[in-house]
Amino acid sequence: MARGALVLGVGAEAGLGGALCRRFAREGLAVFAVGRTQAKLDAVAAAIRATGGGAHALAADVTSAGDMAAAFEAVEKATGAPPELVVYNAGNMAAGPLAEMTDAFFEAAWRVCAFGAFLCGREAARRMVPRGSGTLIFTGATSSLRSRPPFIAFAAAKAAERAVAHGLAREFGPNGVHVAHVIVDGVIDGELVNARAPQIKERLGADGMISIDALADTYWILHTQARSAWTLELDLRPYKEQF
Amino acid sequence: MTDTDPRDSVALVVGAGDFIGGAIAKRFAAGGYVAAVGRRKADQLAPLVHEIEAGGGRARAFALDARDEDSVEKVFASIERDVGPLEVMVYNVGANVYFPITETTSRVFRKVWEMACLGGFLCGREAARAMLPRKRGSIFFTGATASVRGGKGYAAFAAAKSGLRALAQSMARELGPENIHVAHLVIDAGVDTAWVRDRIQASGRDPAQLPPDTLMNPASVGEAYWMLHQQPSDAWTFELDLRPHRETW
Repeated sequence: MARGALVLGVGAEAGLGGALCRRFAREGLAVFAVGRTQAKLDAVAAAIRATGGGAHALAADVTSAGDMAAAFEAVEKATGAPPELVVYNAGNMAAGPLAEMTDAFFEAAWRVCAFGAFLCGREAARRMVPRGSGTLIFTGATSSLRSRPPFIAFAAAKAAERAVAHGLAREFGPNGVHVAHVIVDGVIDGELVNARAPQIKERLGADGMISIDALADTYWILHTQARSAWTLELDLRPYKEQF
Repeated sequence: MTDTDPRDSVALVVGAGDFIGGAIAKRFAAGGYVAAVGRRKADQLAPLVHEIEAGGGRARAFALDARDEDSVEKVFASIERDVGPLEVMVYNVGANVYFPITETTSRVFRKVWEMACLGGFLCGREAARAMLPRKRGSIFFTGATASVRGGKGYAAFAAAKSGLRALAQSMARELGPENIHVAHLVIDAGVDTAWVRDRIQASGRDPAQLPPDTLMNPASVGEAYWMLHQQPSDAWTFELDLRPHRETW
């Protein structure tokens, strides 16, 4: 049976989640794409299957403990084993002025970035530790390290997610589980920004954004690192990004 | 630099000792580069050069004192003139010493800083001068736990390594827009070298009894430098850490 990869936080085909699914499928893994919108997941999975890869679409809420466990269960049921590679890629880039921010808005950012990361890490640890292997990668952002308006809710949530990742790495590395946190310190050339703010692409110019395929390559490299030299954290940005 | 054509391009490793530096040189030679290797005593480089050549790679040894401006300028000029365009420069000079603060002499403090920081500046500057007209190249610095943490007994080493990290950060911000990739690798654990095994022995433990993967394999570390050099310029890493899976930190 195929080895499984579980990618949580998949939206449009032209987003990072979709690119990760395609990259892992290309390596022969059976990919399980988890996101909120069934139609988008179906499109990602169908495109992979059309090129001969293995892909499954699972609509789920990553902030629900029940849905998170069910996603891991689905991989085990289909492949006979827990996923060898899990990516927590859910996030909402919540932005808004603090004085007008509602409680629900702040809490929603925390739920999708930090609480979901915890649920994912807990499920992954329960299933990977007994096997003594597995990779768990979290998608971080500039906001993981730096809180700046209008992204304060997002930054508070991403910093918490980073703390979850670092804690997991220290607790489960000795059990053979590789936990990594990727700090994406630039604008991703993906659906989220291109649909919401197409003027950004124009402003940044050629090569001013990070291609989703280049990002996906780095996730795969992290998964294939020898365990005698593992990376917990790395940053990624375009060559001309100011930082 | 995925579009790199390594034919006759040079990857220089400054501080090509027997372990990490040697592994980095071997990895870039395997990738098609001419591995230029430098250390103070060039005759000690002969086994590394022979090993690379025996494996079908190309290597050139240089006597290089990274603390000496004349020596650095001469070696960089000689590489560009006699070997090929410098595409990669790795600054890997180690200066790891342990002294309680009251026993740290100004001579030790200054010498450690010269090796770990000043030499990085001299080699980084010469690499930038060579690479800027071509608008391509990678400049990588080997960091350590002490780059981000001043541990007990490591005042001289940590001060110097923090300085090297700051140098790397400034260079990354200045040279990134010129398409030159500057990165800093935080090696946060012992690498499997004779020196580290001696230190373990000295601390009263038997290095032969270490559990597997307690120390990092130099080849695994070399692979990380190679991977950074392969990154396309729309997704570059400035800093990454490396440690074995069972390391606690």
